[in-house]
Amino acid sequence: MTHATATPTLKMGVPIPNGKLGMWLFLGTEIMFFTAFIGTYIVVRMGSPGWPTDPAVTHIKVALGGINTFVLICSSVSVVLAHEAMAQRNFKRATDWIIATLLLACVFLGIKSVEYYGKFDHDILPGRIPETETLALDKLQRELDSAFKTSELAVLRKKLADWEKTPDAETKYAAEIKKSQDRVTALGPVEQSYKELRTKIKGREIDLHQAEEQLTALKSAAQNENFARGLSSVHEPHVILYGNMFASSYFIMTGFHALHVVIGMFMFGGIIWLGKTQRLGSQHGVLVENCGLYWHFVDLVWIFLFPLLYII
Amino acid sequence: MTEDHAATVADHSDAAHHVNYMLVFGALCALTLLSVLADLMGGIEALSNAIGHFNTKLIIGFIVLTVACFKASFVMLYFMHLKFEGKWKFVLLAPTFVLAMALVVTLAAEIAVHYYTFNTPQSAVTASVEHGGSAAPAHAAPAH
Repeated sequence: MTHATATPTLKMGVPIPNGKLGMWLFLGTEIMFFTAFIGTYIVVRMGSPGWPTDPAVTHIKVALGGINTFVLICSSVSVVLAHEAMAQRNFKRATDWIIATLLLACVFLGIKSVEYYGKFDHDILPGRIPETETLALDKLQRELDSAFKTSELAVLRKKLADWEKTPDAETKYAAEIKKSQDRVTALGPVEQSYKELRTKIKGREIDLHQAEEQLTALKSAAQNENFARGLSSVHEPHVILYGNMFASSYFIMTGFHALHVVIGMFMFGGIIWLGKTQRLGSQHGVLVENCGLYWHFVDLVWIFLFPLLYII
Repeated sequence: MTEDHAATVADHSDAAHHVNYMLVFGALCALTLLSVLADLMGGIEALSNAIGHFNTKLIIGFIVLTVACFKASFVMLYFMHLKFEGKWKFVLLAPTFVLAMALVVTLAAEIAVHYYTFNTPQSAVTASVEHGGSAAPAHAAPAH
């Protein structure tokens, strides 16, 4: 007696490829990773009355955030169209859509760089923002000191001191010495204003508003001198309540998000390489789908970061 | 289950569900525009005066976060194909959702909800400003 009836194959686990299951498990850890930051930010924000929201203070540009949201949405569409092209076994079109996604990722990072430049330029950095008037004056004092140390005046004085130590410098470099001395004399009034402001700030003889006014006057007096170049690095003294926590939250969330964008770009680079070397085939369907899932997650995180950081 | 067989299953399931991606794209763009419009709404002074500054912020916050939830749902359901996946998605994603919510709820009790008098250097500045003090609040600082 024979047993001809075929028994159905025992299927265990979830009905998806192992690679895809692995990606979903990874995305599960990623959700927890980002919600830790986002959740903490929401709680800290709720518990901090007076949190900085004015774009003039935070240098948050809603337009740039909105454009970046649009760019990421476009990239999500292009990556899903690449996945669809893979299912239709049109590998050339799939490669093209992945190239489009990679380019959109570059645009996103470019806009993000502009935003980061603004933050660095205005010193909106964790631990650098004064949250009280005393700290603002303290920061102004430090920045003025630093500007003076690297100013043209300091450089000239050092040169003159070096020449004094050189035995035959007076005859050898007579013209240069004369020129430098004249320059030091010309910069005298600016140096005097600087020293007066510095003394007033150190002795806390003026308040923040007066310090700001006098700094503006000093900058304008030094406008036509190279001295001003050093002073341009001195920031207007502004108190930003909770500014440091704001900067920390902003950089940790957008920084990790940008890192994920960069990792995604490497993944797309790999697929493009396979496509351009005519090796992209139906065996890579799950690979493209997984990269797509990862990229949609990156888009998903931004969908929440945009309103939380740029609008509310 | 082998990878090849699984890939075939996946291909089959994808082929069975055609999504109009351009429609989803349009919806996502429209919702992003709605978020930006809500932000612009916050700048309307008459509105802020009529319903109060705090209420305006609350309403805008509610609108943009609801919009974000809808956008996230569209991405997950259609772009990530969760609409067409099996029930395993609930088993896999439910714990992460629970953790995300639990973190906010537990931390909020200590940090966001001030049962006792809140006492930090920053809260002293806020209190001073509220009582007509001279400390410069963030919104009073002019642009650089």
